[in-house]
Amino acid sequence: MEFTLSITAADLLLMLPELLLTGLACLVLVLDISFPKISKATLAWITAAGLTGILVSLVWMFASGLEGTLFKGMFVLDAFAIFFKIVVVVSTLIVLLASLDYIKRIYLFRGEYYIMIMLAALGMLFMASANDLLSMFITIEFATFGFYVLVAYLREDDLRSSEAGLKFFVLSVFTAAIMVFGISLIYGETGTIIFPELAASHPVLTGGLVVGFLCVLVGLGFKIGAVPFHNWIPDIYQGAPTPITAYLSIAPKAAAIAIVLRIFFSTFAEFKPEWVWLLIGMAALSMTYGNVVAIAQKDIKRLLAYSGIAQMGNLLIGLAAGTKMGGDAVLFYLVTYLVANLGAFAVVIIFSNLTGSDQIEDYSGLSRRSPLLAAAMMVFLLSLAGVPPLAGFIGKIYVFTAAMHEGLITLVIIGLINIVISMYYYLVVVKKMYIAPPTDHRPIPLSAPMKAVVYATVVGTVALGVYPKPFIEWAVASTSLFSHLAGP
Amino acid sequence: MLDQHLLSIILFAPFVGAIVLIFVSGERLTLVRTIAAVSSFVSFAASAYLLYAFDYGRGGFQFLEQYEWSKDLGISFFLGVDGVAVPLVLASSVLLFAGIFVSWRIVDRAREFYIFLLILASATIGVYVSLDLFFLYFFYEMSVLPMYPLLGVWGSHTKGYLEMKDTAKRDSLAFIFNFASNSKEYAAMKLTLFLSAGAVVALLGILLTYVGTGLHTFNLLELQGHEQQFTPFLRSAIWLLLFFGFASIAPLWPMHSWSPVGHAAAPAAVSMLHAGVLMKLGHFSIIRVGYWLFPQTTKEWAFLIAILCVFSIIYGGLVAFFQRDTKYVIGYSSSSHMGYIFLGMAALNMISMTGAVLYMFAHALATGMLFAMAGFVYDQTHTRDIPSLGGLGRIMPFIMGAFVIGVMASVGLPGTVNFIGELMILSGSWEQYPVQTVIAVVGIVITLAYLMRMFMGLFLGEMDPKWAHVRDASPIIDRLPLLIMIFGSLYFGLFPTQFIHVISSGVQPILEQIHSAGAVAAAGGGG
Amino acid sequence: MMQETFAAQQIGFSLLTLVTFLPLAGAVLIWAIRDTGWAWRIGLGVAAADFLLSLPLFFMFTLDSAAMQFVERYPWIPSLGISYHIGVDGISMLFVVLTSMLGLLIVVYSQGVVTERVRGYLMALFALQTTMLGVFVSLDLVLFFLFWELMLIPSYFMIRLWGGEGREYASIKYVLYTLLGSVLMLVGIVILYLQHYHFASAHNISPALSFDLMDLLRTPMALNVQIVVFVFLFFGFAFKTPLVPFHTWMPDVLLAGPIAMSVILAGIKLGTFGFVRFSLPLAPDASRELLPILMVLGLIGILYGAYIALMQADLRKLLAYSSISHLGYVALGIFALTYQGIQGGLIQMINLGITTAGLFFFAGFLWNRRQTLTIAEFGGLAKGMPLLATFFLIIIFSSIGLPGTNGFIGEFLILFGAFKAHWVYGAVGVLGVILGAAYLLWFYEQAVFGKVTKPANEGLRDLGARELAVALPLVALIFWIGVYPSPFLHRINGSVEALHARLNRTSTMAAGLQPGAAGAIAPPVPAAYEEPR
Repeated sequence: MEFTLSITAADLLLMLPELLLTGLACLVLVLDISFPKISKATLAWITAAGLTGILVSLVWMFASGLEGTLFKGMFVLDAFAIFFKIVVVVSTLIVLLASLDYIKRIYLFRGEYYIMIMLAALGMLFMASANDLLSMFITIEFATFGFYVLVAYLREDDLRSSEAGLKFFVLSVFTAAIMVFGISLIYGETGTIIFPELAASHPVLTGGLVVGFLCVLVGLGFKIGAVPFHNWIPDIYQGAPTPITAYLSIAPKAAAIAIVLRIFFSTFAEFKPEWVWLLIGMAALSMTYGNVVAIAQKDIKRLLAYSGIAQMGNLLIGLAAGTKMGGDAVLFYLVTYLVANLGAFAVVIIFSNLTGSDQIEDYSGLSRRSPLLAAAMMVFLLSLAGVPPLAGFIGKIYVFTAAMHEGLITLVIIGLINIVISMYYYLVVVKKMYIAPPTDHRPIPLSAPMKAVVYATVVGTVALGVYPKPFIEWAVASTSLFSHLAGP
Repeated sequence: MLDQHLLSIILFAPFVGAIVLIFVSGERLTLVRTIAAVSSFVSFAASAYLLYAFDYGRGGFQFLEQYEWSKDLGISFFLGVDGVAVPLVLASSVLLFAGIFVSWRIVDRAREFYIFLLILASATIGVYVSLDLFFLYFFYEMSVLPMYPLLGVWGSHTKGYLEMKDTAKRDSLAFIFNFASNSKEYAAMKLTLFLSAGAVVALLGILLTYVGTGLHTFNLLELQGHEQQFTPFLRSAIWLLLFFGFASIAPLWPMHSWSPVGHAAAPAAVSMLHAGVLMKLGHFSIIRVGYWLFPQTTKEWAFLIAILCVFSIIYGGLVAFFQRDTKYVIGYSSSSHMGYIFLGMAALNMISMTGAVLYMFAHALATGMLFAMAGFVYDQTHTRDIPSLGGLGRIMPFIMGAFVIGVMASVGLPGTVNFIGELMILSGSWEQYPVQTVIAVVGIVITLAYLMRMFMGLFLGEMDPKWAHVRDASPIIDRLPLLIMIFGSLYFGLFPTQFIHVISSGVQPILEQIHSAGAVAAAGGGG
Repeated sequence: MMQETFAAQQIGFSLLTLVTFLPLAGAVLIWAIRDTGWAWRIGLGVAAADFLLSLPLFFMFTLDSAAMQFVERYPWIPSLGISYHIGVDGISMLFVVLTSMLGLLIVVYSQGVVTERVRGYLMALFALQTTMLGVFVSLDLVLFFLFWELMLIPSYFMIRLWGGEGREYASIKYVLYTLLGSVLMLVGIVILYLQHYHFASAHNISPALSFDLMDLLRTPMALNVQIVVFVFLFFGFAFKTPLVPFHTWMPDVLLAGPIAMSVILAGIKLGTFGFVRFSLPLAPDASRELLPILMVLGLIGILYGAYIALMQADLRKLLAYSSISHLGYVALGIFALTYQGIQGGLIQMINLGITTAGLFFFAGFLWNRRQTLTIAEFGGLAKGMPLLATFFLIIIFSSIGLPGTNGFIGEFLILFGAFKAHWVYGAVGVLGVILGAAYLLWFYEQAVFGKVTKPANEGLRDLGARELAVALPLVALIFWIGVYPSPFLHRINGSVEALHARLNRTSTMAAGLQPGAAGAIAPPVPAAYEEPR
């Protein structure tokens, strides 16, 4: 089989953001090495500027409706991919800003910190475009690789960080192995690994294919962090540097969701009757498990970890619907989750920068120490709980409606019950912040970038709740590739 | 021009006030209060104008405003009021305005307090003016959450709780069910969770309706008249989901237990809004959604309402009689009085439904007064424990006098608008439900019994010398809200004609639907 | 009782409204003027003015007419068929005058007695007077109910704030009992309302919705409905009267409340008035059906009250039970449903308004002198206080029903009516008369005659000017009605006939009765007892 790689400028345009990001990473690396005296803040700002540029390029690509495939269809660029790339870049940007103060507690390799983030981001950008099983695997590993390092970044002053890094590494590699095994099986059964071809080949559901499919699902489930592949999440969230936790909690999940959607909705769409049960099960379990366990948490990062698991469960409801509307719902939900969750983590970062503590107990009287932070935190948590007029509410309604159209009443009921459960533990934090008397009265200083992050996420959370129209339309436009699916 | 945006003004004036407050320094109390007062006054004035601008000759839904919100979900921001909504909108804005003054003396984080209060009130108004099912729920849910901080932060523990010294007992499970002695945190959490639970039950019903009609719209006017698309089982199921979901905030026995607890813990202004208008969200939503979309089913299930309402009336009344805590008395009395409204709704005829809606308005004012005064006494004496109070009448004659009127109104003595409401409810329900009617009137006597008991406990008898320092209501700040509510109660009690016309113009199409059940008619639709 | 003469023709201005609301205006004025001395002056002025204003009602009243007179009618809540409709006929007019008179006497009496919270006292008193007058003049059932209910509030405060021993209990008991009665009555009113609505909408009579007594009287009702209505209304009035099973609040209140309250409650017979004004005409057939039960209740009242009164050691208790017994008579009269019965019942209500009120005033006089009313504490009062002794005796005679006093006319007519209903009723009734004579004379003998045993009774001053001012009018009325009752009879006859005719629509007895036939009934008194041909 002859193999010629002929890439034109037009083709390169398709992977413009990836190229830009690579360039940016190299630039920062060079600067960091060649000018040891350069302040790390400067590097951060350069990175931020670069990312902004990439964001602009992405928006432009979306606007110009650029589409196409590269490398014999391994790499695809379409509105769907662009959506997730934007999500990734935005979250990267926010995390970067959120890191500015936090990074001060890291003594070594501050420069590399940004580079690692960028490389991880690069991997995730590719994930969004992965169009066959192999590129899927490679990009996932590429992205995860960055995180191996980042999770363990605090090794000087926090053992848990190293421990988390190790755990994360071992588990990822383990699941990766399973995934590869799955891929090989699928290839063996169908003779192809490229998604469109797989779909076109109308494979019969042989045992091998099922096993392979399940193995791939394990890998993806691990990335999403849905029950029963969630065990790694709490410890690693707790151990990792908080900005990285924030990053982990959204970007890789988003990228993985992109792949999951591609696989379930287009590649194996015709097996919907079979896989829908898997998703229903995962959704129900994730929501219930996440919410119930979250009630018992004392550490805010663990609480957010479990709430994250539950949020993924909500999101899977949309997947379980298995319709285009379901897809729209998932995408929209992802955006709402992004703003609220990153916002919440931003507050956690600010708080721990001052106090060095992540205990919920220490949030007592926050509303007296910093009304802004308390209010913001309340907005984020209530949005995650799904309270109007905040983003989360619309997201949940959207997901439920989609599921309802498919008659998944039981799942919706479970979802509704979970709203009430989740409300409890989110309110417990609100209670601490507003009702409990403060333990120490030091006001909490906010640096400009942190303020920016908090304001941005708050505005985003409210705006998505009050006027989600453009975002819904964006989501709808981005899932045009699923229009073959039945649905309202 | 004004008329086109009247509802937006009523709805958003408090919101705007809240947003402005965000950017005002919490230190500048006077400014904060003024902003709150002004924004709520705008809403108040506009809704007073609404009452008289509403053309009851034409009936139907009026002052419509519609804006595209999300085509993909079939949601539009659709405002409009009918005769049922108008009095409730007015009540909300009156109580908000009064509440601003009642809570004038709050200093701890007053800015946040007013922000939450304004959000609460305007969200409540939002439910009353929404003609889009999605936004109805949107505002419904939104009105619940501010209650949490309002109770938790600015609320107060019960005497029983404060007396409980050993924390182990405090946090024990047994304590959780000991309503008479609970912490404000507990009350707030319980209230929020109960109401959210009720809300999601209703939400399930709403989603089923939305999906079932397959119209891909939440517009109440378009959804109307498609009842026949549902199987009898399904529509009964949906109706019950909606009914119990919404009735939990009403609160209908046996879903009431959150309410007195919440009343007791809440600061005066919040109790006023809570008992005055928040609880009416339940009845209103049942009428607006359950009655309006499922007339036939309503007819089939009305008997259920008639059965449960009796328990509300009697149970609430009897429990109220044995309470030591002023706010518990009023709280239980409110949940007992909600039974009258349900009785009126159950009878399904013009006069009783009109009476029920009128009674909602009446009760809002009456209970508003009582809570305002209970709150005032609490602010002065820092106790709500009836036995430890007494003889305050000599010191606060104004409050005593106002309290008498409050009692009259709450009992429904003639001359107050409550009487007209009761009279209509009784007239309407006698023929369907004679037994309930008689029980209801006996309930009136019980009401007087516990209110008199409380009145005597507070104002008559011997005064504990330690209350020597307390004072009577101050000229403007304390009296204005009371006088507004008293005036409303008496004025509309003597001249309810306008109200009755307005309300019946709203009730009529709903009842036409119910009695010509199944007929696809857009009667009253589209104003 | 259907036709109406409007105040506009009769007198040219809304007299009744004025009479009814003048006291309330007085109350407001007293509230506005924060000075006790002025409060008394205003109070006296207002009460006197109200009494004088009420006199035209008596003198300009068209005799022997069943028509509602001095009528005023304005729509109030048209959408519910509620109107401001007031007027008086033979049944109610005398009560209006009586009420305003007692109002005046009470003010005169109180001025010497009440010392604390004077302004509040007068305000409550006047508010109460307005509500009572309102009850008598209302021709719209909601308006009537409004006054009936609002009465509770001033009454409560009168008892609670100016009462004596055990006022807390008495006040709340009074309020709750009365309210229980009246809410049940409200149900009755609602039923009437609905009956009229169905009838009217069936025969498209307008207004379909109406609480107006005149409209409701035109509404025919099936017997069973009438009975339901009657029963519900019965509760309201029986609690207020009080008839015997419902009487327990009465002694407590008469004992604990201030004298003024006792005078009002014992003197102004709202409950029995309610029966005559509403129950009987609205549910005539039911009344006939239930006649035996009601009569028996009346008799029980008479005997029970008298019997308990016999064994009272305290004057006020004694008076309380005696008034229960007297109410039994009134009930006996009106429920006999015979012409003389109703006639006598009404006259007797007026009489009691005079005599019982008088008795309580005198109890008050004694109390002010001795701070006790235990009969054993007194004795030989006649020595020191001839005037008091004399007037007291006269009033007691009237209460016993000695010929020549008003009591005689009333009791005679009542018993006569009762006999005509069935001889047993009359026979038992007479028993009560004897008992009644017994306990009152026994008391008088104990307290007033004999030697002065207790030193405290020596040198008690006799009736003062103010007290005479209270006593004289009462005594004068006692003799006026006793000797020359026809002015009063002529004022009530018309309505009584109409009522009687209505009650016996179907019976043969009333066949030959034309309206105005009672015009023949003129003095001398005995003529009144004759069956109108």
